[in-house]
Formats: sequence, structure tokens, C-alpha cells
Amino acid sequence: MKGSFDRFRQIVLSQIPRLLGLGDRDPFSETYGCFDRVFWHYRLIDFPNARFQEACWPLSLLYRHSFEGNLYYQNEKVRQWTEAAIRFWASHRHRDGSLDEAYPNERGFCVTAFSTFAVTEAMLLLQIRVPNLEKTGRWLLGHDQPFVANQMAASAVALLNLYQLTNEKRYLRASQERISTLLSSQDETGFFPEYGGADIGYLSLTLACLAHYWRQTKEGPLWESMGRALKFLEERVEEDGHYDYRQTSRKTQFLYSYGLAISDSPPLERLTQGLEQGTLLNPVWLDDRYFIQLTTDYLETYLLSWESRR
Amino acid sequence: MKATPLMFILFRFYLMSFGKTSFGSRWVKRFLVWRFIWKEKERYVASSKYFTPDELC
Repeated sequence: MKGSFDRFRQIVLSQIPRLLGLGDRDPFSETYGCFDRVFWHYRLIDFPNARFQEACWPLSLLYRHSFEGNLYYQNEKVRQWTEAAIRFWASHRHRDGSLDEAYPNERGFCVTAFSTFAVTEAMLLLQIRVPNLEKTGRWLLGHDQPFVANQMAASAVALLNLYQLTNEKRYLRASQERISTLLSSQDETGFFPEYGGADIGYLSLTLACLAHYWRQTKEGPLWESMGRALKFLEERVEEDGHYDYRQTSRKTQFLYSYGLAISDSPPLERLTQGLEQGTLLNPVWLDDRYFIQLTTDYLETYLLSWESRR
Repeated sequence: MKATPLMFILFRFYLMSFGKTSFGSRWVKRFLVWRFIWKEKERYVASSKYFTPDELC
């Protein structure tokens, strides 16, 4: 497995110039730090999709970790762009702390949960603080999406990170409750429901989020639950990382790796085999809207392998 | 990019080419043309702004 992780590194590094190109890097621009290029550069839409601000997370990881081919390690410009992305996210929240993804005044749970997760990870890594994080915390406390496991998992980690940033125990309690709700919704076969059914791609994303949560809390019941979900994946993911997505509830085609890597599971080997063969869907093939998240996932997996090899 | 005399001439020609319409729709069309030209100017003026590694220096 050791050699296979290099493919993750190569794919990640190939995507960073593209990722940076999405961002407004002009410090004198009104939209400095915005990573929704269709908004700040082409001006074809009237509001930015806040999910693009998740670019701050892989940038902060690259800034903090030195590895082969990483031009961005401890580069001051990268740090400035990361901070600008975080501050743009913070300044474009609604008064209630929520954000928009698909339309103005959406105040979406998915975008608020995932972007808060990513931005708080970057804030913790680079010790950056923004004012009034609490309003987003309050919004997340008051909203959930029990039918969509991946979003619930993301919100749980976002709340846990908010607790680390603010020391407010209500966020910790809420994150624990979210995890309990999630575990109680797990099907006996191992999947977490996505709109009432099983979806392999979103299950891998849920596992990736839970893996982040578990790394911080080391909760036993969570680990067992993740094991059951991995077993579900193991029975359905083929030798080259492919699976029959047509039978799944959301018909996603991707496979997130971090949740598989945390336990060095068979599906991880299959995923890496698919990458080596050049046949598996990966960040290079994704559109601008979603490649950032999978790139971050691959980077985290590579760094995890790096840690274990030290 | 500065507006040139030629641009104003072309703009007037564009407006004149609308022909006879009702007063309200004539002004709506003029506004839309102005806005289109203004937006196009912004897109034309802005460089591609893609990232290249020399920016790291």
C-alpha cells in the first residue's frame, strides 16, 4: 500500500494550480478571497456559492505540511490567500450565520455544515480567528437534516471544531447528539440512510467525516459503527474501486478515501488500484463545483499515510 | 480600457438600429444594450487571472 499513496499525492498536486485559479488573489479587489470564479471573475451570477470557500482547507494543509512536490509549504502568499478565503466566508454569512449555495437566501444546511467544517479545520490549522463564529454555531444548533447522513456527519464535525475554537460546551454536546442520532439511524446492514436508501458514494463521504470526528474523540461505539459501514462497502466495491451506482439512492459515482484509510480497509486498496489503473473517477475528472472536496480528501489520505510511515 | 470615440459612434448606431418601437420598450432596450456593453467591457478588460507558480515568489 505504501507506494500506492503516491498516486494520491500526484493527483492532489495536479489540482492545486486549478484550485488557486478559482480564487480572487488580488488583495485590492472587493472580492479578494472569493473562490467562486463564476461570481468574482465572470460575473455571470449575482451571489457566490459558499462551498467554494472550502478551498481554504487544502491550502492550509499544504501550508502546514512539507512533502515531495509541495511548493506551497510555509509560503506566505498561500497563507494570505487561505486567510482571505476564510474571511470572505465569514463576511458572506447571513445575519443568522447561515450561507447560500444554489440560490440567494437559501440558508442551506448542506452548505453551512460543510463549509463550516472546512473553514474551521483551516482556522484550527493556521490559528486564524474570525469574529462572531457563534452565530453560525447557533444556526447549526437549531437546524439539522436527519434524512441525509453525510450532511449530519459534516455538521457534527463542524460543531466539534466550533467547540475547539470557542470552548463553548453546547457545541460539544450538540456534536455528540448528532453522532448519536446518526448511529441510531444506521441500517443493520451497515449503511447510513441518504434520503431513505443506501448510497455508496455518500456513505464514503459520511465515513470520511466520521473518521475526522473519531480521530478527535476516539469513541468506541463510533468506531464499531464505522466498522459496520466499511463492511457494507467491502461487499459492494469491486477490485478496481468501481461499484454499481445505478442501484444506489443518490447515484453518486465518487469514492471518498479518508474514511477507508483510517482503518486501512480492503475498499481502500481497491480504490488505489483503480487510481493506478487510471479507471476510477478522481478529482481530475470532476467539475469545478466538487473537485475541491475530493482533492482535500485525497490530501488528507496522503498525509495520513505519511504520518503512519514516519 | 478607456471608451473611445469610435465606441460611442458604434453605440449610437446600435441604438438607432432598433427602429420604431413604443417609448417604454425603446428605453428598456437602450438600458439592456448599455448594460450588455458595460458587462462585456468588464469581461474584456479582466485578464484571465489563472494561477501560475511564479505568483508564489
